[in-house]
Amino acid sequence: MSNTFTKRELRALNFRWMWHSQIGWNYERMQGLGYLTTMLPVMKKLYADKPEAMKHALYSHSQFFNTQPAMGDIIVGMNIAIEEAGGENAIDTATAVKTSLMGPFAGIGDTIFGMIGGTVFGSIAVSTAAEGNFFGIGLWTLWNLFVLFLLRPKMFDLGYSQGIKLVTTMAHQLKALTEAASALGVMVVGGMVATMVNVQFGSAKVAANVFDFQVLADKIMPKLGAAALVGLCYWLLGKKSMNSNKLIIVVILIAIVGAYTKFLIFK
Amino acid sequence: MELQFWQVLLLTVWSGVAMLDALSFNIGMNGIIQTGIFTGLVVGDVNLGLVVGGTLQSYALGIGTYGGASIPNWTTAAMLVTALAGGMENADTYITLVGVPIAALTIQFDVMARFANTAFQHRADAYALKGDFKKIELMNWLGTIPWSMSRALPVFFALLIGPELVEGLSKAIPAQLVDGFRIAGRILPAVGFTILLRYLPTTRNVQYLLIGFVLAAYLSIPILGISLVGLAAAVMIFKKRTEEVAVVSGGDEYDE
Repeated sequence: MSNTFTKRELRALNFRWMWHSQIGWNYERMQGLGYLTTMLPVMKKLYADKPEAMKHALYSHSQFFNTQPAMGDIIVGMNIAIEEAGGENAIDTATAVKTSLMGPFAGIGDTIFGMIGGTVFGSIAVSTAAEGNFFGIGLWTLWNLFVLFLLRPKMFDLGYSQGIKLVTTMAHQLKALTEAASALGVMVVGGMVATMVNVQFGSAKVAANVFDFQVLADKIMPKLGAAALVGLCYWLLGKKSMNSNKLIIVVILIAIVGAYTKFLIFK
Repeated sequence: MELQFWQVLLLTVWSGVAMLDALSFNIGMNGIIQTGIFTGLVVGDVNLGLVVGGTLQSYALGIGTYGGASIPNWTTAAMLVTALAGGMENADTYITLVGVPIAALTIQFDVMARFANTAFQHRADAYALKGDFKKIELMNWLGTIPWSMSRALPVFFALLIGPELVEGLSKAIPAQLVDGFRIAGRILPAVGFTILLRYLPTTRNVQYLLIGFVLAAYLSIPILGISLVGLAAAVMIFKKRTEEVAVVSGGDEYDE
């Protein structure tokens, strides 16, 4: 039996990671059980006739692991390449690599995937859905399929073919990519604040004069109410005792009090 | 809306399977909008599903379960609101009134699933000592049960008892409060955007926040157009940053 993996086996291992990575997720080892399960065929191939190495590998791959799943493709690819090349002596190297990469990769992956998927495609889907239009959600689905069938396999192959070298060559690019994606995300949020947060001021009668607050606000700038509300929320969320669940309650209370006093209206 | 049993069953199964998709291949079945649309198809009001999903999604943009944290379950909320408010008058009132408590109450089921799986982890550890590959893999597979049940069970029971609760709610609630909740539905997206802004490096990128706001508020450019402007900015930043690195490392070589 040869000790190298065919393209087909590698592809199967990649999809094995995608499926197993989180279905056994638990508070104790997080993706650790999924990682171990993914690596079983690798161990079978490399250490079938080396009981000591097998024991060592089973123990190493059972350890705590958690990262962003798509970034995990790169790590699993690297790990397979390292053990394939170095055998049982490389198990500790592989463990060190995966343990040191999971944290930073999680941060980068959450920003890039959470940002592009969640903010950009989510925003387009939300604003088109509000008009009863399926375009945005279709676009988001295409992105998901692109990630699943093209991007993630590519990331796995990159990890496998480059091995440890990748850590140094990719570090700069990933940092640049994260910064670029952040700017894109922030700009889209700026647009979404203006289009999706719908604050309609009402009016108040003082003596014989009627003050229409919406007209006054529009004279200052369009979407003043939305900008003010998000500014208020941003400030509130920076407080130690505030969290997002409490913030939802605060905003609902603002709406109810606003409706009662006619300061805010539904239009 | 009174539901047929087959509708309840179909929605229950979808919830469980969609959760597994979210954990693995992530084609988007567990998405808030997608779940709204599917529920709309099942109960015969696709447009309501799209609007409910879109509204709840805007409360939760860019929120993921980073690092294994449990977050409000807007997906289950989208399904239940669409299924229960379908065909009712002022259905949009219920998006906030019913959706927000559901999303908050169902967080606990996520915690329970993540906790339940520790039992399989311990069994797997024992099988790892024996080198029993098949059983290790089985233990990981068993994790699908708590995961899918954590979404399917609340949906199943809520759909069975929900119609009467929502019916009662619609009678008990004063008109003034209805208006309050409808306004809340319009302004709650502010929370989702705020969470995003707190997560993103906003203070360093405040200039892009202003550009996006001005493009939408003053020029009424749709969000897709703003994304393209953002993409242009992102490309420029990426090029500049990678060139900077190239120049720096080029300098190093020169020194040698």
